Amino acid sequence: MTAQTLLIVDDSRLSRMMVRAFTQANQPDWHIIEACNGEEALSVCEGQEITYMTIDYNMPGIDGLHLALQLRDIYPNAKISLLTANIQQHLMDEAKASGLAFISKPITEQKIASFITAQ
Amino acid sequence: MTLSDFQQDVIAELLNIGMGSAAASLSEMVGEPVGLSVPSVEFIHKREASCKICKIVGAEIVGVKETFNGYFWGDAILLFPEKRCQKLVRALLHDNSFPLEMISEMEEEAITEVGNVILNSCLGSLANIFEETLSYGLPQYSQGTCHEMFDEGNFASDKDGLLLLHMDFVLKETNITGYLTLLMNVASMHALSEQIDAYLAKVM
Repeated sequence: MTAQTLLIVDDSRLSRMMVRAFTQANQPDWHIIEACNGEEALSVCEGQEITYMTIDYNMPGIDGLHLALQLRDIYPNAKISLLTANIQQHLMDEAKASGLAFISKPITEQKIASFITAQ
Repeated sequence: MTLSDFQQDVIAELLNIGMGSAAASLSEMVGEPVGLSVPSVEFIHKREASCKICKIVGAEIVGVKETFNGYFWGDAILLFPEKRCQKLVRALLHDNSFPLEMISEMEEEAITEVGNVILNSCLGSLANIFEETLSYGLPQYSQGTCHEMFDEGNFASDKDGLLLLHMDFVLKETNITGYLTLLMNVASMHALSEQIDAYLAKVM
């Protein structure tokens, strides 16, 4: 697999650190970009070729689902997952209906590994 | 004692995970989506804590409290504004046809059960993350003012300040807001921060 670029959007620094660490453990060559809210995500990804994204749902400002839909318009081929502690059925259903993957917190190495190796 | 920004971030994120799991349970019980706020973590004096909560929830409240004990300990309290409680009971029963009398009669029991499910789900997910056992007391229902609720707590005489974690949630269709708060004293906060360091050492 050629090197990819992962965008991590989460207001928790701990979560961003964990996603980064677990990604690097499996894919040390990947380029990783972090943002702590939706607005920052839209600005830091400008000009970047993002191929994977993990997006938290409950964040200050725009929520993760709306952000994911906006980012998908910019990166139609990227693999995008919501990564959230909000594990309510309605949110999982909305993610699925929008073609997004869903990873429930707490974050584990196994959950991240299976997302970033999924084809 | 102060917590570093990173420690506060870790605590907020763990509360977020606990409340996420609790909201999923509540959403199943009431059959509608539950909106969640971002968590807040503060180290403040008890009086300030109760004033702050009163300001958000309103003076007259209904609450369910559970004391938790383990490697760290404290009080977990779920609060609802009193005037919205009957609506919550109707949402739980999925039925608008029950007479008011019956709703009022069931209020205490129903709110206690909601409290029990939410507090257990939240505390249970914290215990699982740390791979520790937390034991909790029975849910205690109370009705009154916000200050009374906090004065009855384990920390009534605590002068050193408390760690206040809180997060609010909204039943979107029935338009009811509830508040989850966790209170810990300084010694418990120390124990929690040790636990967090051990957790980070293990996962990172």
